[in-house]
Amino acid sequence: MIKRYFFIAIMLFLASCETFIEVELPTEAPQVTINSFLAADSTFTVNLTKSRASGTQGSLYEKIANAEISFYKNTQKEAQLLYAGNGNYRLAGLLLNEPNTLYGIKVNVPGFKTVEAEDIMPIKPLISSFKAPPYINSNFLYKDFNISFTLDDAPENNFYLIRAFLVSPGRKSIIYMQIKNNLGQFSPIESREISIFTDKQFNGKSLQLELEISNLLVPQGPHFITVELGNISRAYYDYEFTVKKQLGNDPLFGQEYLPVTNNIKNGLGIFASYNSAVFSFEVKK
Amino acid sequence: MLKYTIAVAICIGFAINSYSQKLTINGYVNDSNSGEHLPNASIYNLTSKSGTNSNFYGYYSLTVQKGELSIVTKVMGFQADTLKLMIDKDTTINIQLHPVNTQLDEVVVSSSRDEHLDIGQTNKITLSKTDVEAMPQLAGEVDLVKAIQMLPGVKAGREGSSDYYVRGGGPDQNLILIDGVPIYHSSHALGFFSVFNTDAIKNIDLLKGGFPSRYGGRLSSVLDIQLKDGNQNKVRYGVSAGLISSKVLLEGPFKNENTTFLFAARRTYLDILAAIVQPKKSGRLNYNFYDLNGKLSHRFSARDKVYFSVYSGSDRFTSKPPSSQENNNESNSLNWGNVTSALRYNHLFSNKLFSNLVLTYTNYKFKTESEYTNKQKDENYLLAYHSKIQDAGLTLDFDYLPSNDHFIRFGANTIFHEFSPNVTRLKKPNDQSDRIDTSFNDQPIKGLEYYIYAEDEWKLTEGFQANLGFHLSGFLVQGKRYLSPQPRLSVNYQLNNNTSIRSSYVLMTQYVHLLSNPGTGSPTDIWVPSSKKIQPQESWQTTIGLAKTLHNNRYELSIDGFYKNMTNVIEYAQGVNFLEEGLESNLLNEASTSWEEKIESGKGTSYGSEFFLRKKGGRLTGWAGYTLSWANRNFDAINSGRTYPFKYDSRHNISVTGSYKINKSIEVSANWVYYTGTPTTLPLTEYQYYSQDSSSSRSIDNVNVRNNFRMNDYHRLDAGINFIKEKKLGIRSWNISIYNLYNRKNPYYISSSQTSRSGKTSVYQYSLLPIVPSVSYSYKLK
Repeated sequence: MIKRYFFIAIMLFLASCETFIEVELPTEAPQVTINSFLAADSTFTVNLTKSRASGTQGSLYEKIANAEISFYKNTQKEAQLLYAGNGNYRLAGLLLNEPNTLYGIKVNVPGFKTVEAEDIMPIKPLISSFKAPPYINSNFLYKDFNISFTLDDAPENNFYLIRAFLVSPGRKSIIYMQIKNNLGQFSPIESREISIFTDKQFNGKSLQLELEISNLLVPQGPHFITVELGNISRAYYDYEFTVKKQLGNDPLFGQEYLPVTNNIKNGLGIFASYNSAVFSFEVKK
Repeated sequence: MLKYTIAVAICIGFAINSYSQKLTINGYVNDSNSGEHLPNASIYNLTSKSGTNSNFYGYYSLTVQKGELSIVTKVMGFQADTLKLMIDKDTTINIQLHPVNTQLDEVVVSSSRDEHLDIGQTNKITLSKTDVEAMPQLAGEVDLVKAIQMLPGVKAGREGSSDYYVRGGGPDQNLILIDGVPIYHSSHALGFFSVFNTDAIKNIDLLKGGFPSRYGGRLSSVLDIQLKDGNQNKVRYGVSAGLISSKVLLEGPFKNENTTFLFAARRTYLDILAAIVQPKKSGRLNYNFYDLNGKLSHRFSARDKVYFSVYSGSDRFTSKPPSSQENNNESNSLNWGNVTSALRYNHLFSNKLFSNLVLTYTNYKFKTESEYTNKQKDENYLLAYHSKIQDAGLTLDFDYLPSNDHFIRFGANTIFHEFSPNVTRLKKPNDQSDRIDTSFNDQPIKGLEYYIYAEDEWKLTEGFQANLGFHLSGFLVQGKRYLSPQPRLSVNYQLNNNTSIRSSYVLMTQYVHLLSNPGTGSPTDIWVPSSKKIQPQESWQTTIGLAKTLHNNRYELSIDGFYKNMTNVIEYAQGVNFLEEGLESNLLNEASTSWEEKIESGKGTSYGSEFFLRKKGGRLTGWAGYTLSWANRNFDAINSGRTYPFKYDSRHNISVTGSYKINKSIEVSANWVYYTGTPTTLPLTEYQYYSQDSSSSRSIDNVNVRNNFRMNDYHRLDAGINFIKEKKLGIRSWNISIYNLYNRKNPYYISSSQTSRSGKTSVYQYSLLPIVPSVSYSYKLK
């Protein structure tokens, strides 16, 4: 009998908790969103879109095609980016590998304040003892791989990303993998696309990493596996970290949404640099 | 130089000589029933139209002229007493006052045209235990903080919470003292009830600004709670039982009135109820809290008295999910609590110099643990997190009353702090390659906080009074020394017998900070010290106001304006919170990150005005308060550097509370509270997440615009009725209360889930406390 009363009391209590109310939400003006990852030895691209009201239907954001983007190196204007369609603006030629250089952009879009961002290019990570033996298990088209290498961490605070691709002529797709290491006290933030981590647990030491790729579907034809280990800027790490936190978790009851870090002045998004070491090997049939 | 020394000596000699022509009446103001000393009593010489106040320990010293005198003594909650006496030498008189409620009498306020206006203390509100006990209860619990939250300038935290925010300051900016010992965490049951057991309380002072120099270490308020010493005249006990907890009180003299004791305890029985309700196989969910207050006092002589007081309170929440296998064992726990103690020695050097030496100890601990054991596989996984503060302090205060025109206080204090703000222990042995057994951030941070102060409550003329003071504080931490000189000034000018104007200016510095989680709040909030990297919080506050008594002192009216500026207030940085869930995602990185890397320092301002009308006597007592205020924050790295409203910013706050004695046996009471909705952050816009490797486009909620939406206004009516009956041995009372009488669904949390209906947006609003009836019983021996 006591249980029944208790249950009724709890139900009454909970029933009063939730109300669906109509409110007039304030409107926030759209902002310029920058998505730009600055990699050494690569083409530099800035993608521009506009933010929109929450809950807007459709996955496409309004592209910005009428912007003027100036590119700065160590606060000196270097060039103007050219529009390449689909909201993308490109720098002619490849970006040289110049670690510790401060890169910046200024974006002028009619009707918006000038949007600015800057970031420092990290040094290229040092990798040694890269081993990629042939697949260790094969089940028709599905194969398992174990890849290992040593990361020699520089003494300053570093942030890293690891990702691997299956590359075939005209096609490049990301591969899901698991990461193991010899120190134990290290757990990268893994997502479908990339894994990111800091050197907090092995600062200035060598870290032996092992990547496990399981059940990889390898179609007919020549294929390569490319592993990229990038030294990423703090802004890049914070952005990916907070994106993962926000996208991966709905807020608990009573908690507010966690914001994603933003290094864009007068706008939203990310302007981040990274410097990668890349290794490839051919997938033997 | 010699001339100067001689001149000073002559002046001092003249002053001593002039004082020696006068006589002194000194002693203690006591409760006639219990013998308890009464602080804040006004002792006024009607003959010379000058007076003084009893100090925190009930001691007074009044300078008088030889001859016939008429002295009136008043203190809130007691009947005023007038003494007529002939004085021809220094005399000690212990004044006995009768409580207004012990005989269940109606309160009659005596007044005289000649009496002075004794509402001069700027920004200070004194509540009596009777005020608090008369109010409607929540779940049968009398709660001091719920009464504090009804005062103007004080904003309640979330629904039902025992947090409070004073004049736009954070909860860490409130100095809470129990018998002079600071307490860090003041609530039970995730904030629903405060830790103060009203049975053990003698006096409550709340200061919101104009802080005298003797107080320091917090920016926004001082809640000074004095516990009873224990009845000197006879052994008394009281018991009371509510819906969720019961209380006992035992107090009295040991052998004679020189030695007294007090013991008060409160405990919930939610765990006992849970044990009855939950079947053993379905796992267990348990919660309980308790409070213990103990105090011993001994009077060695008329000049020497020693007190020893202890408070201990703790909350314990445990859960054991049902085990899927016999060999598996899983448990989770959440514990937090305070222990404080004080050893105090009061000594009277002369009838004009009173001293107080106190040794204090405080310990606050918060701990959460998750443990999983598989006996068969010999596996044991543990994730434990704790936050702890230990303080040991020494205080020496002097009260010097050279004449009725000066009340000089001076002294020094030092506190040794040991902080362990976020220690994480992790044990994960099940996989050889990932074997972990380690602790993070387990090195405590030690700091030495100290201050010296001097102040003079100076009656410059008959109507003009000032409190001039200086407080010099310092903090030594991680080899860095902070020093903060803080001038304090408050003035009060009496325009006529019932009107005064007042103003104050204070500088304050705070060396401890509370890191509050956005949303959840206590107890997962952690206390951290100022450090090499984190600067102390500082503020300046200025106030101006008018106070008036009306209708033969039955009513008090005050209007105050304030402006407060705060610097180095801290918050978690964007995207950071208490501790990540889950072992696999990023716990190690999070746990190994120092709290200093997770926070941002910024600024805050608050300003507004407060109106307070209080009726102190008669059948109907209570008050009405209104606050119009603004509170903002500004951090370089939050909200894109733009100023945003503080999370408890509320434009209009209205509170009305009253109790009415129908007759000697029945008393009814009601509260009504209203405030403008508080701000919260909703994702009103979204922007593109552009992954380099993913073909799919995802959206990021833009919650970088902090506190961009105001929830609905909050209002609530509570009502209660007390049935009191005088029995042979004691007084029995029943209380029936209804919290949220009209079942208002007040906003607690807004979910951003939204759909469009007829062009309008809908959101889910969650409320917490609907109408909550309760009943409690108490019996107190006469």
